[in-house]
Amino acid sequence: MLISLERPAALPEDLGAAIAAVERIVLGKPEAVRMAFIALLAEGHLLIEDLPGVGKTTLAHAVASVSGLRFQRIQFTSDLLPSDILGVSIFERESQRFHFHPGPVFTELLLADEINRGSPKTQSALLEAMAERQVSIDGECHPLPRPFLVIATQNPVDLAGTFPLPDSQLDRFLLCIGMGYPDRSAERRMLEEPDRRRLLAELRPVLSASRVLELIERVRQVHVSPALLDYLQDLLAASRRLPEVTAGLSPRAGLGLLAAARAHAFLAGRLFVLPEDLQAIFVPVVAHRLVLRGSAVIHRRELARRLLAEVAIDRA
Amino acid sequence: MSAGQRLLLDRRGELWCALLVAGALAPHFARLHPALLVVLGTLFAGKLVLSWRGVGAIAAWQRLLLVGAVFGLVVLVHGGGAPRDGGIALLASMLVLKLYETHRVRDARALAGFALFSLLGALLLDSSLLLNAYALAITTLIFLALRDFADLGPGRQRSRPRAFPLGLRATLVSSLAALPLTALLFVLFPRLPGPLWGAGIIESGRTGLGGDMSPGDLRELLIDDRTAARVEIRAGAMPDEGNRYLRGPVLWDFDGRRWSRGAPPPRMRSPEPVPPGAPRILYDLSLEPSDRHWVPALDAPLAAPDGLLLDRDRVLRSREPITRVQSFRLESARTGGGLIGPASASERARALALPEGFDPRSRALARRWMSEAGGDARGYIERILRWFGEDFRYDLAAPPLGRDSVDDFLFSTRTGYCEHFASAFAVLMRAAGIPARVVTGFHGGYRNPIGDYWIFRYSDAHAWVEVLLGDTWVRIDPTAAVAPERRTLGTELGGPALEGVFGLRRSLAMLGDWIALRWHRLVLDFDHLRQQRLLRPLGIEETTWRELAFLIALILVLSAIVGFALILRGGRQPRTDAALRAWALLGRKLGRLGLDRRACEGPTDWIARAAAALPSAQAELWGFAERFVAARYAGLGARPGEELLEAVRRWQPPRTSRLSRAAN
Repeated sequence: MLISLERPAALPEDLGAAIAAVERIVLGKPEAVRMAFIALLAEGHLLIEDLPGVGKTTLAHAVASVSGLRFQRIQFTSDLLPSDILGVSIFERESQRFHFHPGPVFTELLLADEINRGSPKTQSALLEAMAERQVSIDGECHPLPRPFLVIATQNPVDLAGTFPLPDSQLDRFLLCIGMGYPDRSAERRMLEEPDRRRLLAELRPVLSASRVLELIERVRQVHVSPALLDYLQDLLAASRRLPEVTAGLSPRAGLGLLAAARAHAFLAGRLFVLPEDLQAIFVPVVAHRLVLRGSAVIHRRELARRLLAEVAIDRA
Repeated sequence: MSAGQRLLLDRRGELWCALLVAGALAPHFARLHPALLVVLGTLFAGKLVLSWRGVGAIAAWQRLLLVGAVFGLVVLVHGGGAPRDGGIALLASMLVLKLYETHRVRDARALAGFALFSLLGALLLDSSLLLNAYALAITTLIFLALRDFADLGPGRQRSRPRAFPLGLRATLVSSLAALPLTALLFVLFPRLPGPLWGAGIIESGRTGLGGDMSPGDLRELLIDDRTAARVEIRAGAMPDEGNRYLRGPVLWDFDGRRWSRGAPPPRMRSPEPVPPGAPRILYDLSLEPSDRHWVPALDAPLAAPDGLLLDRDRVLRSREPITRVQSFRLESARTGGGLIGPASASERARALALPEGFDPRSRALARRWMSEAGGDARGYIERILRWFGEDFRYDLAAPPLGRDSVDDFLFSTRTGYCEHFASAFAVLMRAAGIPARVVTGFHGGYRNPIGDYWIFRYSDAHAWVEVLLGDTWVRIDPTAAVAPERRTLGTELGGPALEGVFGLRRSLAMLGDWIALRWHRLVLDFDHLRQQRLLRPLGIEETTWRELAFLIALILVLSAIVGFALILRGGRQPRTDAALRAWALLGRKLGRLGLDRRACEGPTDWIARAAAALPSAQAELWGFAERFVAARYAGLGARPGEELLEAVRRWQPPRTSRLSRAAN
């Protein structure tokens, strides 16, 4: 047999172990964990929209720990300034020169907590850094380290004093997911087991930054067939015909879908992408990029799911 | 339902739909009540605005409200009228309202079908070449739209508007492919003897010769330069200008104002003799629809062909009103103006009757002049014609006449056209004791050099008089005495309405008329007789509609088979790789167990579902999936696909109805 679908070629052991370790910390949320690793392997960023206390920070922390990545956390507030994130150039008396003091963004995994509490100016400073993977200050470019993953959280309920990210900025995030409450048994275990923070502290890195870069490179090699590209383009075309949106998916969204689908296939232990991979990451990649008309009453995720249901695969 | 069926229409698709509706309804505009037209126009414009602003659906209750309101309006404005107009109004309303619920490709396809139906409806009511050309254009547009809708399907790239002419070419080519079948159906479709949809199709108010005549009646006709009849000579020669009359209804009875036919004359038993040795003329007469029974024939028709009867007035009548363009092969004698037709005593009496108490001055004048002529009818007639020639004017703008219409005309206005002259002349004849009757019909006509045939228009409508001298009804045209230029020049140019139509415009008009005639001859006149004549050499005698229907069904089935074969062989194979065909085949095989693949279902999802329902076939199913994925998604070449096709062909799904139910 050429390939085996029932028992796919095994996932790299260390990656599997890393995922398993995070799943032991973030209980009952294998999907969220998977999406975090997809963002990491596809070199995208992850936005988590959910209530406080469902484990967003824990997830980010755990991913950073097992991956052996340097970790920084920024709590966004309305008085946070761009320089608080990016860093500042300070004139040093001894050397008689300006010296750049890098901000917290110069890290490998950045948790931007409650990003919608920051002012638009600060938000856009971070988003620009995310997109460019570099920081320009006083005409000088300071490249960000690789890998570089931002996990941002956004609280959808607490709207007073927040600046919701504009639609045009949202597509800087490869994936946007919700966490949701853990199910009963997962919550029970959480209640029984020792404090998450202690467990986090006990986590040992399984990967390293260089290993992550290596894996990213391997994900890029995952095969994409013309048939899959056909399906992807059908999805993009269908999104542009939806009457409920002002604009369909951009080519950037298409690239994002492809990268995320590769990572998903890789995590499933395959070196080629199936339509099912695309479908699995479709809603998290697409939903936040659909710009709805004012009159539309449908939920974005609902709309994305409808797109999946309407576009045919492997049509003879 | 395939995913393609549920695809949403984009804005371009919605505009297509609007275009189709407007195009398909345009021929019906004239038949719609103005109020309804305004309402439908508003609804149409409203939908355009909604489409333009990208508003998708309106709520179901709103649609329901619209439907109720519009249908109510239809009942209100068309309820009392002809059921046909009401039907058209309903059709138009439904088509416009359909726009409001057209959001998916499936709806748009249905809409295209309705638009075709609407065009068909228009063609039932009017089979003119112009409308046919228009319908052809709109049909092409509908096909273009359908093509464009197909581009909305999955796996297709929407062609940019720039590619429009290319789409047109492909559409025309595929329409051409339908041409042989269309021609066959045209020849074979059962024709009923006589028109398919009885009387009442012609717009009321549009009439030819009325069968009666009072002053002012013909005026409407005389300014109408549309073609009324065409004559193609087959043998013999066309009568010269002065004798080129098409004979219509003969009017016997005069009530002081109105000339009428009275009781329909009996059928002419054995066609009574025209002057022996009169030259004969064989010709095809094609009549535009008039909703009347008259078949105005040249000079003196000799016999009635099938479907017509020749009455004692030597007028041809059709059993059914002429409601579509109809052609007849006729034979007439060129009498030069004298019909031998011995009149019975009662006919003689009718031809002398005058109502009491009308036109005293005219009657006195007639008696005086007759006695002055010494009882010589010819001298008396000549004197009157001279008087007409000297003191009377021909003018379509004739002043209105009072109660004693002939007195008024002869002694005060002295201005009028054929019917005034004919009426006055006939009264003068009768008052002098000469039997006379008024004949209506057409006179003059002009020859179309393109196609070499004669055209008579409504403006050539005419009225003249026949007086009984001895045994012969002699044609006398009093109008000619007045206005000789009308007889020689005026009619040649098509009467007053077309004066000045020289040169290019006239040539174009003639060319247009010739095309219309060919169209009638070739297409519209193809009736059951010509059909039989055509089919007889093929051994089909006395065709019944049953045989024809069977033949048509046979041809349709055969062409469907050929079409499918072409699609399967030529169209499909190169496009679809083996893996996809195998997948479709597997879908059909599993479909029998209720496990067919949903259009949006990926290969492993589907196989997992099927394998769960068919545990006994698990290994084979996963084997199929692996080969399929290898060929299509893992980039391992075409080989696994071909193997898969072989394997799927051989494979028999397990027969377990219990499982298929469980899977559902």
